[in-house]
Amino acid sequence: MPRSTSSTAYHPLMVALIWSFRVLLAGLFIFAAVGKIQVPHEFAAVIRKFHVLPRMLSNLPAMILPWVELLASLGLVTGVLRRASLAWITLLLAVFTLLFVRVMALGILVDCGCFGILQKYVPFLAGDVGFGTLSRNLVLLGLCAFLWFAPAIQARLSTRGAVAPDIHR
Amino acid sequence: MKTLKEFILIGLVGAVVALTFNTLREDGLSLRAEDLTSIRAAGADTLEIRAPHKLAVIGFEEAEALHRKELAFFVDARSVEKYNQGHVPGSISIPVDAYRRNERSLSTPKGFTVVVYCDGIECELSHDLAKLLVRDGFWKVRVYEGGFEEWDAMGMPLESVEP
Repeated sequence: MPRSTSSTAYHPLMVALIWSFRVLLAGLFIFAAVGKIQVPHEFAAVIRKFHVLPRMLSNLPAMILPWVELLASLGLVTGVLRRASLAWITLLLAVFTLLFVRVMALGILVDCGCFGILQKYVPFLAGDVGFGTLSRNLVLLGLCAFLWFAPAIQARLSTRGAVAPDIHR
Repeated sequence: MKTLKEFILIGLVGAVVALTFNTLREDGLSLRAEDLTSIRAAGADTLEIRAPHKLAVIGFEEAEALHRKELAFFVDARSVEKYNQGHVPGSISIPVDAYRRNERSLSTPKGFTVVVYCDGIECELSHDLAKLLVRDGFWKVRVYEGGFEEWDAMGMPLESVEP
């Protein structure tokens, strides 16, 4: 999340993009977290299929990750601990993306389990791990990158004379 | 440094909330997942103590025979979405979590043979559901370990539910 200095002022377009991306990321992660919290056993089964943790440890992430997703999403959209929240969202997305690449490289067919019981409402975003889910994650990582680098992008815009009130102060 | 502290704080609060919620909920996870050997051993030991000779792990041939002769009731322990995409013909969907929350139940006579399956050999949702069914008084619960993947791979007919 951009932390601007007093000399940094955001262009209205930047303000709109920042808020849109924050709401989009937070909304998706809240949706995913709520869906997974409701079916812990199914989510644990999905985690085991990725074969990255010793089996006996597989229940812990199934228990904890959805709640961290939920807290980070709320932080991102409300602005409370927003940099740390964005860091969690980015880290989770990066880890999930690496897992997708690994599963695809191994040729294992795994349901991504991204939205738990709510998956049926977003079939276009869920399903088996493949190029679709990988592309989705890369786009979302792109949004995270934009939020991290927003001050630098704004600095470039400012040199061209475009300024607006700073929403991040 | 401040962000790192806040990052750790979110993780810790998330973990505390998660563990508390998991302890309070009826269908919570155990902290340590059982390994497959102990799950199968539990199926052979604890379940048989409660219901002698009524639970067994079966292979494809037996599952196919039970299905062909209509001697068993097939139950799909996977998620509803997966069931809708494809399932053993005639089976009904009872996701484990839904059963734990009493949102789904099995209305067959308790003495009828029930075959529970999930994705395949590495999936233990069928074992979980089988344990619950035995707990609830079903006498003849079988776990078809090869599950949907083996059924499909053997070229057996499938059914799906249109959205």
